[in-house]
Amino acid sequence: MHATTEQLLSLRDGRPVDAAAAAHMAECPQCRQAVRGMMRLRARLRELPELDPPPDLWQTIALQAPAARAAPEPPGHTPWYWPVGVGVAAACALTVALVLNVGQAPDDGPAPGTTTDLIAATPAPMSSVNGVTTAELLETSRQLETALRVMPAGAARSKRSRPSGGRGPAARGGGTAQGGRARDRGTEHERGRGSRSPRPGQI
Amino acid sequence: MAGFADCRPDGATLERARHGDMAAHEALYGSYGRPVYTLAVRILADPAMAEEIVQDTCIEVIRHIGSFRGDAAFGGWVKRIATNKCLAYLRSAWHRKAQGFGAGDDGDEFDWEPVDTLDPATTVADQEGLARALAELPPTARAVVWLYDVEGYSHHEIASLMGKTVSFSKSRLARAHEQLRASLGPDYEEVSTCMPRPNSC
Repeated sequence: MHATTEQLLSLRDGRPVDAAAAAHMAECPQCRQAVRGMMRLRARLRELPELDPPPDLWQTIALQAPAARAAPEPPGHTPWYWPVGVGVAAACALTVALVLNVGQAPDDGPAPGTTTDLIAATPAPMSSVNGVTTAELLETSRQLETALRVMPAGAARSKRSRPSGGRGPAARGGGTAQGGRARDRGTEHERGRGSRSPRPGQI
Repeated sequence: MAGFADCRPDGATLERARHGDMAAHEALYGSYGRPVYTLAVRILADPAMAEEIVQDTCIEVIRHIGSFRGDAAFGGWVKRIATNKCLAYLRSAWHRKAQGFGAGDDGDEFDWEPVDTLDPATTVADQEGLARALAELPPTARAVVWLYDVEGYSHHEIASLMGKTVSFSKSRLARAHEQLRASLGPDYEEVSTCMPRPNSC
């Protein structure tokens, strides 16, 4: 039996063939002729002339070039973008999970009848407030209120604003004149609200 | 045929092209335009589509010339880009539909006519005849025979480029040779005496 075309091509290209086929082809003039024909065909294919593209093709390409250089890479060609996608997906999933959790806060409490539930329901003993009783705390509070009413309004304001002023931008030398004016215009109530409100970008 | 082997621009031209100099890109195109167009016409057998392949290849070169390493062969780099674009086109749904879903590419049996029955008027010995016979091959067989026998790709490389196995590449090459032998007829005389049909002479 003669060699198959694949075996003949292997012989032509110097690739190994099985022993039986090799033995056959060594003795078969027809198969050797076939190999020579394949070699001749390959040579003829390589001798086919080169073809000229249309002469104005470069002008067309040159017109597209600036846009091509400015255009972003197709997504399939930028594998380094995939971590960003994964990050965005994770952030979305986390946001959804947090939003869903907000409405379910009561479910997060301890199950009724459990030890955790009992501990949570028991009021904290007064002794846990560093040995100070409620009566003592109320008395101290009353004294402070009285002292505040007696003090001049300007002194009270400066005393109360000192701690926050020490941490402010002006104290660090980073405040602007405009910022200082804004702080001066602010009332005590506005400052207090401002300290509780998140700054832009904190949300 | 010189082809991509002669596509060896000097370092200065490459450097200018990396900096976006379009005159340098035009000079590069002067060296690789013909080989790319020839490759595309031989593989696709469609001059209009080959023009698009040349355009796409040029745009790719302009876009990625900065990532080309100087120690590699520029011609080989461009050939790889053009080959990938040709094969991507052959794989495309549009092309497969136009070809009747890859008719002639997927059958296990290749039913070629014995050489003796070919009409002598259809057999030619010149290059045009060979080019025509090549163009009449099924697309995948045509691509494999061109990439293997002319461009010098190995079966492993072709398999990798096509997303197929080495056996696939070998069988398509054999099929291409059988069909070329059938098409060329007397011009392939040395073979016809041995193998009008595989394993039957």
